[in-house]
Amino acid sequence: MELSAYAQGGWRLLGDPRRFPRRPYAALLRAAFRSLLDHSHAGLDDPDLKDIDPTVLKHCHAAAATCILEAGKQKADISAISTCLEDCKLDRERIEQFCTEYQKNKDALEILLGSIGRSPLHITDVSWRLEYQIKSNQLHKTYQPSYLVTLNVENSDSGSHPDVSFSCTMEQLQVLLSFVIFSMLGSSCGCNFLTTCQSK
Amino acid sequence: MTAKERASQRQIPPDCGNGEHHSFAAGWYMPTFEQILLQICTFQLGKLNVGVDTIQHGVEGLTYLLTESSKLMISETDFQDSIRVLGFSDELNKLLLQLYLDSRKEIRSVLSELAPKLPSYHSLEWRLDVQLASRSLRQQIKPAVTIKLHLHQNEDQTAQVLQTDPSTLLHLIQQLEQALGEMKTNHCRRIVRNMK
Repeated sequence: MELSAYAQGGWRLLGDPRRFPRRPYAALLRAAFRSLLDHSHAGLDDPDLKDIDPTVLKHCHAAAATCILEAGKQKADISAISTCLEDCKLDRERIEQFCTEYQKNKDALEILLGSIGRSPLHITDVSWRLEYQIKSNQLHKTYQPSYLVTLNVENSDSGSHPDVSFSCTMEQLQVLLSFVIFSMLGSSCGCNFLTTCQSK
Repeated sequence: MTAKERASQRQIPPDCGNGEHHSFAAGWYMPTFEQILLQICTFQLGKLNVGVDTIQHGVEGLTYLLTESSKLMISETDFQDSIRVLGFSDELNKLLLQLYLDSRKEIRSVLSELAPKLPSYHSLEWRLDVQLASRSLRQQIKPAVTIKLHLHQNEDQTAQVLQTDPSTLLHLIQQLEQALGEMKTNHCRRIVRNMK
């Protein structure tokens, strides 16, 4: 795992006890994780950080965030992270503090990074309505059931997207359901196969 | 209730749909009009020696009769009672009835196309994908089902590409099964039975 020169510079500052005593160091780590995972900047208002020079604070915060994201992206293990931070002259205790904090937030970080990227519209839910058509102004005595199915979808870029709605007869809904069941069976088999491959 | 009383209640109103009250139902009791209508019904227009207007009126009247009868889905008895008041011969009445019965289904399917419609389901294709990596995260195993949904609306065909994960797929199956099951409940069966 490699960091840019700018990030390494920030970590060297973080490793310096004169610039960053123990409590501010812990506070900055917490702030860095919070800003990425909760989208909150409140962590930087921590009273333990008030004596740190703002320019240094900004540099170190960026360095910490870069390291967190790079470790998450590469799915780096503890030894890779430790090696990287040792190169930035951090002592054992500070490296362990970072690794502990990283382990606590690893799953949330993976979810966040996995959700970034382009993909087709994602179906999140379905709602349906059953109606019985009796007549229209063009045709009386139609007497047939009809379903209105709405698929709630999300766009990976902007979040919301107009839903996809369509009408269908009972027979068409049965066909649609059978396709969905086949795709479910296919994905179950596929997932089992992948789990087997991964464990080998 | 006599046949004539029933006929007067359900008689096709003498309006050919364009606002004018053509004399299709009233006053055309001349044998010549009956012959005209017979010829129109049997597509023997070449043997007629009448003006274009007369043919047009005949065709419009016939169209209105068949469309309204099909729209209302009236029974054979009601149809016969409706046209009996026109005083045509039995042969023409039988021909008109047969024409109605033969073309009713097709006319109703054409009329059903005119009703307001939402996009309707046509077909579905699916594919199982597994995402292995992306720019922001390496070493992934993220299964996804990609669906291509084909819809029809007013002669236009659209295809929408959608994706979902296996757990959402399971939820979709449960919801759609519930939707289908609803038609079999006592409530729905009672409504359907009483409507017909």
